[in-house]
Amino acid sequence: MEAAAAPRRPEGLDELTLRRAQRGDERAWRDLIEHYQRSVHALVWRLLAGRARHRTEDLVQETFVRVLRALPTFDPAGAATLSTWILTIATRLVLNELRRPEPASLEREPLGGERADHASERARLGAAIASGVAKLPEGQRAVLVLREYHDLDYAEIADVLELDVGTVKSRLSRAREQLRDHLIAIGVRHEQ
Amino acid sequence: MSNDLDFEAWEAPPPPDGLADAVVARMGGTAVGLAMPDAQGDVPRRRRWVIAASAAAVLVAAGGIWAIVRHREPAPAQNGAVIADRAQHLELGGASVDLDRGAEIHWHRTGDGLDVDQRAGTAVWRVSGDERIVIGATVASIEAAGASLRVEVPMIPISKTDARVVGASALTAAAVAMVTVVVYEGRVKVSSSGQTVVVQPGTTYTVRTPEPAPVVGVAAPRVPVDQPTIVVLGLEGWNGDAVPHDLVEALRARAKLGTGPFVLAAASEKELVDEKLLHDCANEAPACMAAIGSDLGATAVMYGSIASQRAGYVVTIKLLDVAQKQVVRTITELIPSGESQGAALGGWANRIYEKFIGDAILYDDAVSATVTGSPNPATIERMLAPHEGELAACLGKDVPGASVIFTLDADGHVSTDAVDGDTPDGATAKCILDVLDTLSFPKSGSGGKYAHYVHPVSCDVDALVAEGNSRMGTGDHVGALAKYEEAIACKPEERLYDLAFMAACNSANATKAAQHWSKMHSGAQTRLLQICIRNGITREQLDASMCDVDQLRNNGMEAEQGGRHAEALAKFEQAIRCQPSAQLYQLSFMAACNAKSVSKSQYYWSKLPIAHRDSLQQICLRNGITAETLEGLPQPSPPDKASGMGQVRIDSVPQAKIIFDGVDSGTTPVLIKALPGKHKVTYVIGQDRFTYSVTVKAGYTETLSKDLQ
Repeated sequence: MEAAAAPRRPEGLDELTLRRAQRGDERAWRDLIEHYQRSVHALVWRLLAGRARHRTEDLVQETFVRVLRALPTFDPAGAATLSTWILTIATRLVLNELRRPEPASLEREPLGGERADHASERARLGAAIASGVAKLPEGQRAVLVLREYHDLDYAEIADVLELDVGTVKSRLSRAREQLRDHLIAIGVRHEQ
Repeated sequence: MSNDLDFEAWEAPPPPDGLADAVVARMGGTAVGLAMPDAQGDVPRRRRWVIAASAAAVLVAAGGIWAIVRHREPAPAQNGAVIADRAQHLELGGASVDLDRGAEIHWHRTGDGLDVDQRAGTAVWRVSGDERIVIGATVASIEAAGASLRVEVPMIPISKTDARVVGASALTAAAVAMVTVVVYEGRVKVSSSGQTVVVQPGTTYTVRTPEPAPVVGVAAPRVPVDQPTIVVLGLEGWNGDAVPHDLVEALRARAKLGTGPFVLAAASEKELVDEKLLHDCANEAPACMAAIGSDLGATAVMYGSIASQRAGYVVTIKLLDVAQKQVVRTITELIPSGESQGAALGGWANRIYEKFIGDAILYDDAVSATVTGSPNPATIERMLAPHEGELAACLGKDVPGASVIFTLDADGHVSTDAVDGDTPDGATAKCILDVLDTLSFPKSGSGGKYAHYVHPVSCDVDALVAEGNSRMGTGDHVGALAKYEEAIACKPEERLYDLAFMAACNSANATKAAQHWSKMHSGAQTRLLQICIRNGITREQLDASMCDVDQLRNNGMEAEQGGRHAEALAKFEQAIRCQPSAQLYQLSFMAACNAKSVSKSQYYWSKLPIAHRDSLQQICLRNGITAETLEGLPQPSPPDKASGMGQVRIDSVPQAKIIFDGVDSGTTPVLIKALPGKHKVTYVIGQDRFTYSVTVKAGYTETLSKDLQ
């Protein structure tokens, strides 16, 4: 599978397309999905690190189905941008998924196994980050991924996860600390 | 830590292909490359997306793509075509069909249901109660819901004798197209030549064509001219780009030259999308298109569609023979982007036009030639047109018109005993025969039998009004009403409805008063209402007539066709107040756009079914009402003419990154200000780059919209 460019927060959907999508225009729906799919897919895929990655596609689909169903109620002039609103839906779906007990019979996906080229330093780092994120509690994991990979600010993350900003800051701090310890422990990073 | 750790080293894979299709399908939309949702979403299983092209050996063209997903049955394609090389069964959503060997069907799903073009062969259709299917079958349009039926579309070679038996008179054709509909259950509507018949279960209905020569019994023909006329309708699929508009103008300019078999019909400045709406044509079935051509007074109709693609513009144009109700030729051309402007586009228009007329043997001037088989009815009509006056003079003063059937022999002579039809007496028949005898019809292999409608002597509106006025003066309101109504029948003018209303009120005839009231303008209604009130007829009684939805719609259509868009809109709105319907909203949208009413256009835009918006939007676009305006969004600031700048609106499907003159300019849609002159626009989609040129004019906004899928 070809690696994707890092999906940061996409530019906002143009207003005309959004308005049409809100009215149920199928072509606008497609435009909206294609506009945000990389970002949503990357978010779901990362949040599922170490867990049932095969659920990624289902959850991405489910995210967009919920987005389209709720789209007529979305207020473009409201507090949340469309991008944040969509990421909120995706995040909550994944967190619900993470709270489910995994069937014992199911094999876990190999962490970082997507890149077999361990000779590459960067690939090693990627695999190490993946394994470190997988060890994070779900709350910390979500904060870290939204902050580091989707550029959400503290207030937006607080809205997405329905937390206080202070809680977001402390969870982010603990997540970074835990990840750093993990990277040091496996020799990818040295103590400073 | 976030500052010094390369988080990007943990790369996420790209989303799977077909995600949008899968989601839209789950939402109940159009599925292309469909991926269905898992009904047991909470049961983790390994799945993968498998999208495969149809394995159906005979699936042809039309973009029909099947999807096989997660071991389910193939989802029905939204559009496609099949020529069955053996007996075959197809599931098409709410309908299924069993095709006999050789049957050919083309289908596409619209917001309203399934549109099918059954071009040949026999098919048994089963349509569920919540499905609506319209089958265009050469000479008939068949509409069914909750029904099962068999449709047979053979091409039957017939002899002259057979032709008489089946009622066809145009023996020029070696074949007669025929459609047979057998209804097993449910109600099925069959429309042909403007007539609609409901076919009951257990019955068989057959439609044959060609009809016995030219139209019989219609009101005054618009174009009784020597030369056949052609109307060139605006292409469907216009999205604000100049190319479709320029191409149609160039085609019309070519037709205006008058060289070749046609001259451009007077009413040629019409748009296909508008005319389909006005004639309630769900699709471009030949019968419906022929009705449009007939109303526009044309012998032939040129119409079609245009689509912008990565390589240029794909143009599909058809030529329809109005009398025969048949498409005589279809041409599809790709006009490269580089040849889509100026003289190059004009050259394409000429080539397309000449491709049509080069083969339009039906319209060759064969009057003096010996033709094989029988002379074409259109040729005979052309010969009769200059003699309309003489023929009309044969009719008595009180004869409203007559259809005449006559026979030509192989030498082009009219058989002496062959005039029949609805002529009132022998003297009239002899008179008509004498006129026909003076004409030199073409020699032919077999001669033929023809029908012609002789229109009545023209009536004198002013004389009828004067007589009505005179009767009003003597208090003979009933007599006056009769004269005014005669005048209306002769030539329906606004003032005549006012007079008839006045006479009806004064004769205390509430029914007639209401009938004429519905045709009056609101100003006249306000002014003249008191006449009825003082005769005991109330406003409520009059308004009751206003809820004749069909009448209101027809009046609106008449006004729209006459270019009276505001009046048309008022009529459609009146009809909506009585009984709203999707069709009335569409008609109102069209009238509002053509009347350049922004607020009304916005309102009716919001009422249009989503599936119809793409095709109808062009009506407003060509009237300067933009997509942003329709959506109620702020208009992009107009280019400042004084500054010498222009603008380019760039759009695409799918969304693309735009490089304008080498400068990264965002993603589509974008609006870019630019200096006048030629500019280079590159669309970037992944690794693909598509480059076009656009010419900007000071003070104008050009549109460059591309389908790059």
